[in-house]
Amino acid sequence: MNKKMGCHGFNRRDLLGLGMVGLSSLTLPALLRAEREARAAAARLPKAKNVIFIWQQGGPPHQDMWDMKPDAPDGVRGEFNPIATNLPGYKVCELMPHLSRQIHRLCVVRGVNHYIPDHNPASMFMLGSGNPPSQSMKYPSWSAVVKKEMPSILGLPSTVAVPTEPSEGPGAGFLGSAYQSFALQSDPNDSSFQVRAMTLPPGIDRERFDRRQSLLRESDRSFERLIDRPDLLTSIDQNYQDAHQIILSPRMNAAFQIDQEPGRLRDRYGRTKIGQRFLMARRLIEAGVRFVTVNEPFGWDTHQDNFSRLRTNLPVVDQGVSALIEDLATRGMLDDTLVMMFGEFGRTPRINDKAGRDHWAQAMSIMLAGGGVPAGLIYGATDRIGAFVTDNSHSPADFATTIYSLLGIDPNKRYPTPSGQDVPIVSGGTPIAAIMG
Amino acid sequence: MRTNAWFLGILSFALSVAASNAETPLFDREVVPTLYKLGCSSGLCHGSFAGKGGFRLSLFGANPEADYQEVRGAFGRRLDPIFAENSLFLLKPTGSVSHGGSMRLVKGSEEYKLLRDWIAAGAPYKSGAQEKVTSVRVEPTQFIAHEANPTALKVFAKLESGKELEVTRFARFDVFDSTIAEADEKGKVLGRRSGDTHILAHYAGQIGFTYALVPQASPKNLKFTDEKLSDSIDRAIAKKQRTLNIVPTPVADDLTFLRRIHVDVIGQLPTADEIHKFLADKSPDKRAKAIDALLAHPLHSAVCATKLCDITGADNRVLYDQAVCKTHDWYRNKLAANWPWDKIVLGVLTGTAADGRSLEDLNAEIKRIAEERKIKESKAVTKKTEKKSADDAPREESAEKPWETGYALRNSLDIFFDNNKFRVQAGPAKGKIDPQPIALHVATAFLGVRLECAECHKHPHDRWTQEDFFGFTLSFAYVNRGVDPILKKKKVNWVGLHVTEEPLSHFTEMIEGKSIAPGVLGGRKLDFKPGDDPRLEVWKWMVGPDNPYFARSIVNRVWSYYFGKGLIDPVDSLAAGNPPSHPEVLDELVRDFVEHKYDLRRLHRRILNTVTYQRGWETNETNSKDERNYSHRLLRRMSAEQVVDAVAQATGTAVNLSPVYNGDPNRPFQRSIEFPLSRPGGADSYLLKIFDKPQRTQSCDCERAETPNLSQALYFYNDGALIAKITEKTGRLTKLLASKADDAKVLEELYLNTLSRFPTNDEKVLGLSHLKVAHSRDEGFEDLFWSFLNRREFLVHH
Repeated sequence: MNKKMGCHGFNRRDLLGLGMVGLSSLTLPALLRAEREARAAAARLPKAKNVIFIWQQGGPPHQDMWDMKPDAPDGVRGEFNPIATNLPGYKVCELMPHLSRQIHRLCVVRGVNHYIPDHNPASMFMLGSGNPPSQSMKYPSWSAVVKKEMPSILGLPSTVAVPTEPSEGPGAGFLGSAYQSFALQSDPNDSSFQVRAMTLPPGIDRERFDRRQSLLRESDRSFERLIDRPDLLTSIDQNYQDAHQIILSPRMNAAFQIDQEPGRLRDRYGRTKIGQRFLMARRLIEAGVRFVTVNEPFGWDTHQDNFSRLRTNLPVVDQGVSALIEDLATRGMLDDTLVMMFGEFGRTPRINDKAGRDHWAQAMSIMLAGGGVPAGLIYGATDRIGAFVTDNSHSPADFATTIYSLLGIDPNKRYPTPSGQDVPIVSGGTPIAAIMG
Repeated sequence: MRTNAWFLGILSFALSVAASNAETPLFDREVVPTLYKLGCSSGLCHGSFAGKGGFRLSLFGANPEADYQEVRGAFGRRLDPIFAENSLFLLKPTGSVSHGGSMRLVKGSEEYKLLRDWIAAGAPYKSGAQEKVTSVRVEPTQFIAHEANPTALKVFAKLESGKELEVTRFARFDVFDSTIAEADEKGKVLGRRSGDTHILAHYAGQIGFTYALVPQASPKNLKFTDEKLSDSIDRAIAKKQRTLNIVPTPVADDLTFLRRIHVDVIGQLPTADEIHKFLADKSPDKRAKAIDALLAHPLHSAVCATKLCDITGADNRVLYDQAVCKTHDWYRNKLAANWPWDKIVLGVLTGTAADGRSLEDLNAEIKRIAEERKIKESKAVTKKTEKKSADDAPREESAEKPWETGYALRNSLDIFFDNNKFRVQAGPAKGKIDPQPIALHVATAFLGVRLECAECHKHPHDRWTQEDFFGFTLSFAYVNRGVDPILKKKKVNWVGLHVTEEPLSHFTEMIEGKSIAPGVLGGRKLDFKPGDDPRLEVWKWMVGPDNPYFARSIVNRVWSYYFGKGLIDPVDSLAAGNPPSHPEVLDELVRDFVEHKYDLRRLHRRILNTVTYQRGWETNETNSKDERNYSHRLLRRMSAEQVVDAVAQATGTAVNLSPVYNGDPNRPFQRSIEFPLSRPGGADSYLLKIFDKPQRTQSCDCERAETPNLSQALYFYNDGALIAKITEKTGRLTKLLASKADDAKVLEELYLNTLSRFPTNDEKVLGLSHLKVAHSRDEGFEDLFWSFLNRREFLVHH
């Protein structure tokens, strides 16, 4: 699957440049020090074991959610009022009343920013482990790295996407499609929700299942005359092995039985697509899945009609995310489960003539919770119109380095690519000390 | 103090400008390219929209005039003409004072001297003025890059006057795959590992390119055979393979070839009959004959219509089911008749509801529609009570094929403009036609050009500016829906898409606020009278002899369809910065295509008849890693529609797909490739979805994925729906078991109908011995059939 090439003409040389910009001091010793620090940070015991990643495709408007600018002029300020939260002095959008009472569990990062106001390359950036997008290389997504680095349980895919992985991202990138997440395909809020082929079909008992399996193994000699087995074939092989184990283990199928949840809890999450996706994410983590990607049903690309679309969507997100955080906390799962929520960029301060906001990469807000990040921390700030970061500015690579370090994954670890290069998981980031806790 | 310095600055500038001489560096042709080369004007540094550290350059040096104001601005504090080396402009990039962008410039380097001399000369705006750079080329155009002995590239800029200048030292080099070759800033190239890559040279907003080839060691045990290559395309590809020491795989055997062309050309497996017939045919041109027969097959036009629906956004979430069906029908009709490509695109671009019909015809149509509505209304009353029984009745196929009648016969496809994504979504103009997404879509679909970047700034890999983008967009602003005012003047009350005299939108260029007129890409303004259709002018430009995109784009797409990779890749990125892997092949195909009046079938036929297309998938040690030089068939997963149809065909079951929003439940179709909807209903829609049928929401060819995933494995391995197809009462297996007592014969039939070949002796033995351990004959064959469908050989198109 080929994605568009980047809009801003980045190449490897620029990539090096970015690392340096992020470091602000330029010397080689500084670079080495940063690398050492990152390694040391990763070497510490991981704080987070699991991740629930909520991807907000399209670029949510930071200034209408987490970074309100009530004093900004007309045409910038927007239609919503800020409301007080349980963190004195911090206000969020009035459409997020539930989350306003959960701030003591959250860490809101307002200093991460980049320079690509174009969906596809920006999504590559924010989904591809903070590596600037490149024409000739696709960097692996967060979940692909986790799938490669973290141990999994037999019969349970270690990474799952509800319902699918973001199509605008790099997927498994150069790691190859065997590192994609398992996509549920169907929606847990549908009355007919079912993840297919999880158990043996009628008429096939275990004995026959085994007999068929050995028949297939003995007879399939396809493509033996290839010198190198391409990624396509090794991925299919891997998928078949995984499928075999999943079918034989009751674990995965049990996790999908969302109707086992009490009705009141399902209501608390919201009987909406997004609400039940969050609940499913929690069930999957509980079952032993390491990384769940929740893809939101609505796009945040509000070039038109920003405010009425938020009036519809934001309360649904507010209800679902707050329920998830609360539920994880109640079950004692929040300590080692990191929840992260963001899109590919923020949106313009200026409201356009269609009551929308356009792409804006120089500022955005990221919501984190659990997994060892400091609770009740509002980190980083933007100027009075939410255009530029004035305090604690960080690159996506800094952010990625931080997240991988929290997971105990060495962000400097190098992978060989099919073309024979050695590429680090994250190029040129420094862990953000305040978030590392 | 400060005031003094400022004053002094201006004074000394005034003096030094007068003193500047012929050696003073030119600002637009030397200083700005140098800043670009150093990376200063890139998107993540000062070229970003807001600049960096209060200093803003135009992205990639696209606007030297603006850059001049900026460099000279800030009250002159950046430049010190008396002590040039003390200029902030030099101190910053050399790292002498703190610089967020690190050290970019080495003191004493050529670049440094150039910038210093320019400042010392008074930092004048000296330019080539009338001599704009029109293009850039690189010498040599292709070369072998050695590991120790560097090749020195030379870059030449062509000026409007036709004069050429060497600009190597100002050019910025960019190697596409720097693991293969590396270029330093002077343009010296060294090879690093075997392979080939293009190298770009950027200068003054133009891009030139060359190819670096790094041959691998000569093969030890393999020899290049003397293949008969009658097509010049094959010869060009073979020549490059030889240079790189890649030994190609011989052409595939007959049965592999037959399966391949069936899957590619009509999206189906060959039947057992077709296999027998092909093997029995001993004529030397039987492959060419088979290709011709398939190109004339009705399903070939369905395959191509589906592809055109993909690239023109026929998504049944933004168009009604009926509209998507009409779109598919229209394409299928034109493709079946082999309409020339330029004529098809004319129909899409200049669609109107009147479709060029006479006033009498339109009046007759109005009458007919009114009568039909009356009949429908009276029927609707009775239908309500009968609805239930109609649902239970088996699907009744109407004899009429919708792609051979009605809308499909029209000259133009006005439905293209009905796409809900082509409307303003909010604000006072809500619901009106929005020319912006139309322009983006047309550029990608028919020119393979991506204009998204130019919406906000000059395109980095191409020459498009904002003015190009908005001019092109405006060409699509003269259409509207509703009552056609021009026809109304002629007393015909015609409603639908029509051309307007006034544009629906206006644009001004963002930075300088210039108002923009309708134009084509490249800047030429359109010449048309009120009431004329500017879209027609756009079309004329597209099919003009100098258009570098229109024919190349479709030729490249067809090539990519058959090889899984475009000569230019990705196929929707025809850009100055993305040259083809085999330029002579693309040029030759394009030449032939245009010379033969955009004959699509001829293009398909030529590609399919090449040795390059017909090579086997097997590899040897010289070509196993090759993905760029067509030395063997690259394996691909079958596409979503191919999988659904192959399963249906192998199991002898019907494809189950249905409309979603008000579609026709009786629409005739046999195969999923004929079903027009991007998101159909029905049991097999799940299979289409997990095999990544594009939903046609993005104008990007990347929407159609071909990667394997776990859901696909689970479906084939364990899904009850597949088991049901295998055991279906009216299906292939049940029928075979009932009609044939000979197990070996049944086994052979199953091989032919799934893997398109005969079983080997080992496979026969293995199959028959499995039957012995199974509980019953039925069960044994069900297992065998299941295992054939689960083989990589079935799923992987080879």
